[in-house]
Formats: sequence, C-alpha cells, structure tokens
Amino acid sequence: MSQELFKEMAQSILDGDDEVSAELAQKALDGGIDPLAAITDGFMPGVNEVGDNFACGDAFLPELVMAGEAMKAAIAVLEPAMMASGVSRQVLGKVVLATVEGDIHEIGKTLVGTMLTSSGFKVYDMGVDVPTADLIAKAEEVGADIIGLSALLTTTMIKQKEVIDEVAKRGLKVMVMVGGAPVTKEWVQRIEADGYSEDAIGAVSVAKELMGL
Amino acid sequence: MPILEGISPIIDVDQVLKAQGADPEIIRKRKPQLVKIAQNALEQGYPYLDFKVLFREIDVLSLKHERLKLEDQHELKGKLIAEHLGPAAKVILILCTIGSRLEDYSLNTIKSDPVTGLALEGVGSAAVEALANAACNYFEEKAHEENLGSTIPLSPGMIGWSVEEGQPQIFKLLDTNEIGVSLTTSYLMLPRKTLSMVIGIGADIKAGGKTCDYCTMNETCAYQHQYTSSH
Ligand code: B12
Repeated sequence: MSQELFKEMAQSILDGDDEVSAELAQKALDGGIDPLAAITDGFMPGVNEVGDNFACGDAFLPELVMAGEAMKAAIAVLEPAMMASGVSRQVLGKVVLATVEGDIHEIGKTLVGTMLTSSGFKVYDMGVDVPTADLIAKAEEVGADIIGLSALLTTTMIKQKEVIDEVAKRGLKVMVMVGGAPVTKEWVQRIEADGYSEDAIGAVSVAKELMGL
Repeated sequence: MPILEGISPIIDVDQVLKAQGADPEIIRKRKPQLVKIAQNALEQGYPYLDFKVLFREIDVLSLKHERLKLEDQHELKGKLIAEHLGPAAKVILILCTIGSRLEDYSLNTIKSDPVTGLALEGVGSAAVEALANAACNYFEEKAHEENLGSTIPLSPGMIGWSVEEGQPQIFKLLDTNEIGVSLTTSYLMLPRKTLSMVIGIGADIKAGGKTCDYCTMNETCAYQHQYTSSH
C-alpha cells in the first residue's frame, strides 16, 4: 500500500497540488507510515523529477514554484509528527542567503531559498540589499556552511566578489555560491566562487555537491 | 520635460505567462490552474499599475568615434550607439515605468503565496514591456507619418552599451523625478519595473534587426520569444 501512496505523493508534487499533497501526508500519518519515509520516498522523488524537468526545459518557473508549495504543504503536515517522535529531518547544510548590497531583486533569491528548504537545507534568508559585513556576521553567528548570493545586474554582482574576498581575508570556513541573471561561468571563475547555478534547481545540486552529498 | 499621456496598454494572460518564462500553449494543456492564477493576478494587479512615460527629443549634430554629439553640448556614447545612431537626425530618450504600487503588492504576496506573487511579478514585467512597446510604436509611427525611419530601441545592458555606461548618460538627460524614477549608485532603477531606452529618428534610417540580437543572453534566454522590441 505504501508504494502506491508514495507514487501518488510524487504525482501530487508534479501536479503542484498542495491540497492533495497535504491530504496524502495526512493519509500516511493515519496509516502509520513513517513520516520521514513519506518525505524521502514519497514526496522527494516528485521534487527531484520537477527539478530535472525544469533543468532540461520541460517545466517552467511557475510550475517549479507550485511544486515547491505542494512540498511545503506536505512537510507542514508531517513535521509535527516527526517532532513528536523525536525524529527530525536531516539538515543537509546551513545556507545564509541574500541579494547583495545595492540590489533589491527579490524573486530569484527567494525561489532559490524555497528550493533549498524543500530539499532539506536550513536557510537563513536575509532579504535584499544586504551589506557584506552583515552577511559575514550572520554566517559566523549561525555557523553557515554556505553563503548564497544573488544579483540582478552586472553592476551589482561585483558585490559577490567583495563577499568572497572578505571570506578569504578572514579565513572563514564557509563556501560561497552565486547566481542571478548576469552571472556567467567566466565571472564565477574570476571571482573564485565555490559554486554557481543558472537556476533554483541547479542551486540545490550545487549546494549538495559543496556539502559532499 | 514631456510626459506621454494616455498610454495604458492592454495586457493579456499570455503576456503574463510569458513574463514568468512560461510558454502559454504548453501551460494551457499541462497546468490550466496556472492560467487561472495568471488571469486572477492580472485582474488583481491591473489597478496597481501607474503607467508613465517620460521622453525627450534631442537633435543630433555629429558622430565622432563612439561619441554622438547632440545639441546643447549633450552627448551619448558607446559602441552600440555609434553602430545605430550615426545616421539619426534626432534621438528620443524614453523612460517607461509602472510605478511601485504593484511591486509592493507582489513582494508582499510572494511571502505568503509564492505562486500568485510570481504571477503578479509577471504582470508587472509584462506591463512595463507592453508600455515600452506602445511608446516605441507611437514614436515609430509618428516618424513614419513624416516619412522618416526609426532605429530599434537601444537599451543600456545590450551588447555594446553596458548598464554602467548607458544608464548615467540617459539619466543625465532626463528629469526622471517627474515620473518618480531614480537611479541607485549601482545603476539600478527604482521602481524596479522600469525600462530605459533611446531610439534614433531620421530620413536615412532603415529599420532592421531585433533587440534580442544585441542581448548578452541571446543564446540562452528563456524569455526571448516575448521580446519584440524593447528588452
Ligand atoms: C523580467 C526582466 C526584467 C523586468 C523586471 C525586472 C525585475 N527584477 O523586476 C523589467 C522589464 C522591468 C527589466 C528591466 C531591466 N532589465 Co531586465 N530582465 C528581465 C529578464 C527577462 C528576466 C529576469 C527575471 O526576473 N527572471 C526570473 C527570476 C526568477 O530569475 P532570476 O532572478 O535570474 O533567478 C534565477 C537564477 O538567476 C538563479 N539565481 C538567482 N539568484 C541566485 C542565487 C544563487 C546562490 C544561485 C545558485 C542561483 C540564483 O535561480 C533563480 C531561479 O531559477 C532578464 C533576462 C533573463 N533571461 O534572465 C533581464 C535582465 C536581467 N535585464 C537586464 C537589463 C539590462 C535590464 C535593464 C537595465 C534594461 C533597461 N535599460 O531598462 C532594466 C533594469 C531595471 C532596473 N530596475 O534597473 C539584463 C541584465 C544584464 C546586465 N548587463 O546587467 C538581463 C540579464 C537581460 C539582458 N541580458 O539584457 N528586466
């Protein structure tokens, strides 16, 4: 029975249907299915498939966001049960995420945050127009594994370099990944960022790679 | 400085979907609920749009190297400018915005309902695009009525005219306060849903090319199919 249910769970994510995904999560709890298994074997394969589809152009941004919302709805049902039984989802890594100083572009960064969260990362979203010093302070405070930096224009992405230089200067053990429309491979090499991706799904794979997963 | 009155372009749901990077035909088949969300966002968002177009016409005196000398000792410069505006008799600088009300609304919405918030963002992008297209069409038609030709709209950020090069040039020549637009020290325009451009008008100008040919992302951009003239 759980195999069937797991399939339906993945499908609810592919459909981006947060009502169905929440219902299925409840059904799993009622049927005594381990909530962690429901996430990893049920819903997660759906998220991964949407991600793959998006990566090869077979899914569009709003579909990706819908899938993320369906995943969130399922987790909201399952999480209290996991907490009650003392099990928690493994945190894949801590990410401090922000749009760089001088830039107020919100959506790209927020989507990256949503995708990282639904994939199991703990995300500290600091918002937009965030000064380098604040980012570094936050990363130190929470013991971040990764700093994620978004920028909309070539004129603002130079701040990504400033953050990387500051991390190096202080000898911090935190990796920096960057993104945003104008960011190119050449730029990433030039500023010696640890990772980069063109989209929110790629951001998850890159973050996993950086964590050695 | 003149403000173009009375342009309030009609936006349809397909433009909103395209502005979110989606192909409307595929979405209609695969996720009809997204079409409905885009439609609702359009209805909810439209009243928040404050269409404004500021423009200024300036005569061209000469082109030297990459500098286009304009009347009153003004100038525009850059590779793209030289490539296209040499034969122009005058240039029209244009700034189009939809104001900040929709932006505030969409960013608030995105926190609680990202799907709708993203659709509202799409409404904003589609709206300012449509506004820019309408403004450019207006000036092109006016030129054609006088038997003059017009260039494609040139925007800072295109190949050969970077944002940091072009934006200060345009902002120097326009009194952008009149429509409530400002340029930050990192050359970002506020409100966000704003577009800047310049077109050349003259007897010796033949129309040709499309803006995407001069875009830095012309090989990879998922939004390309929607851009006809301005962005
Ligand atoms: C829609 C759009 C607009 C809209 C809305 C802008 C807005 N932010 O609200 C409008 C029409 C208003 C606009 C205006 C302009 N734009 Co514009 N715009 C775009 C477009 C088509 C899509 C941007 C977008 O919103 N994408 C959707 C979001 C979700 O994607 P995203 O933010 O990029 O985020 C994704 C990835 O980048 C990545 N990501 C983001 N952050 C992070 C962080 C990490 C850590 C990782 C790993 C990944 C990651 O994942 C995200 C999700 O998949 C892009 C071209 C393109 N194909 O990307 C040009 C683009 C960004 N614009 C560009 C330009 C030049 C301009 C203008 C300067 C043009 C002008 N002269 O008027 C103005 C500037 C506006 C301003 N306020 O100053 C250039 C910038 C290039 C440059 N040289 O800097 C681009 C790249 C197009 C181009 N090549 O010419 N624009």
